[in-house]
Amino acid sequence: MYPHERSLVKRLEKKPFALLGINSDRDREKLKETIKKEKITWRSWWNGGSTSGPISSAWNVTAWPTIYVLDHKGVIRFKNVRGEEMDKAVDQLLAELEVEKKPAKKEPAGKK
Amino acid sequence: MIRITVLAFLGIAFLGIAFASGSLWSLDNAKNSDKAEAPRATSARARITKLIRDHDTAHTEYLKKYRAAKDDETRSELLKNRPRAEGLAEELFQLVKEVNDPAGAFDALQFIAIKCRTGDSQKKAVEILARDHVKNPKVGDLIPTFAYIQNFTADKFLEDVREKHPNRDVRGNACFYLGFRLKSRAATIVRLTTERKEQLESWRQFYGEEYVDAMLDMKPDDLLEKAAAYFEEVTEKYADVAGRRRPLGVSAARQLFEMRHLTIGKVAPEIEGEDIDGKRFKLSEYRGQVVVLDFWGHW
Repeated sequence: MYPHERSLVKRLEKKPFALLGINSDRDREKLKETIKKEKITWRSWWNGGSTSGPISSAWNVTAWPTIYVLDHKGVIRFKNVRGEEMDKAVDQLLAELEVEKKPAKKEPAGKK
Repeated sequence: MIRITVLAFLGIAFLGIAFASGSLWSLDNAKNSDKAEAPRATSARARITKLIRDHDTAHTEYLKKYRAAKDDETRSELLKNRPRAEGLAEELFQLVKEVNDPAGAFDALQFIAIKCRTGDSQKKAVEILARDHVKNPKVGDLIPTFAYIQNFTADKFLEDVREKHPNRDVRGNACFYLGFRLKSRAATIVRLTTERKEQLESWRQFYGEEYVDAMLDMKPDDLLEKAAAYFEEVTEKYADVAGRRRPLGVSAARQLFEMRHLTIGKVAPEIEGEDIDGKRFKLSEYRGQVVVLDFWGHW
């Protein structure tokens, strides 16, 4: 997982994109070591040191990893996409965001 | 990933053993049926007990060796020659016919229903359970293991238990797992017809064309609606009943929350908490950006 996530984050570092984790490890200090060792640059919530912590419980997560992809409006658009599928999902949502940022610019006004 | 899958399988196997030996939450004490039997029945019962015990012992032994194995080759050899419950199904069905003690028959059928994961033996065992054992006091042990059994008879069995079982706790669990099954089935249909189409053939081979095609004819939205009704029934009538990890009311409420707020097209609920260094932050701070949420752990 890490190498793929690392390259996704790297590739999109200039884009309006964020990878956010919800981590359910038991030992916070060990986790800090892992984060250093695996060069995990993205931010994670601490789930209270348990797979049945508050965030994963609220989200009814029972399998790890579980992935949600949200668009720029915060709407859940994909679930449990991995690898290439995840890249495709993110690219699609970034493209949607681009289109929305530049409304009605396709046909310059005044001409014709 | 592969390692996690293997662990999950082992986990299921352990669970199976724990259930088969009756060590997990027995809802009723069903030990009063051993008295005054004809000698022949006793011996059929004894044979059932022995077959199950011998298999479980062999399986525990196999798991021990598997865990101790040093390399993949040894592991795959052990896996290939592991004790198989399927081989006992025919003999156990015969004994079920011979034994005139419902507790003995139930043990045999429970074993087949849980351990024989493929093919007709499991289906047949569930059919006999549904026909003869709906009110058996030990049904409670069986219900959670029915969560993923892939046939429709298991639904009918749970439906009957939900209506007819004398114990309220057992009825509540049947109701919860009915909802759970229908919700899982809806997810399976979506998966097998969209992003996991390539798995369809292996599902057909594994669980039978008839079952898989009948399942694909169902509408996921209808299944989810029915599932929600079962979960609502749990929150209304059985909220305090003990489930495997937490009261059924809590589990049912989580399922309903997921169905209502965590499906595709819904605005993601807020997440607020500490990061690994103790600094608080919120999901809503990232509005305006595309976000991947990754529930992860380094294990």
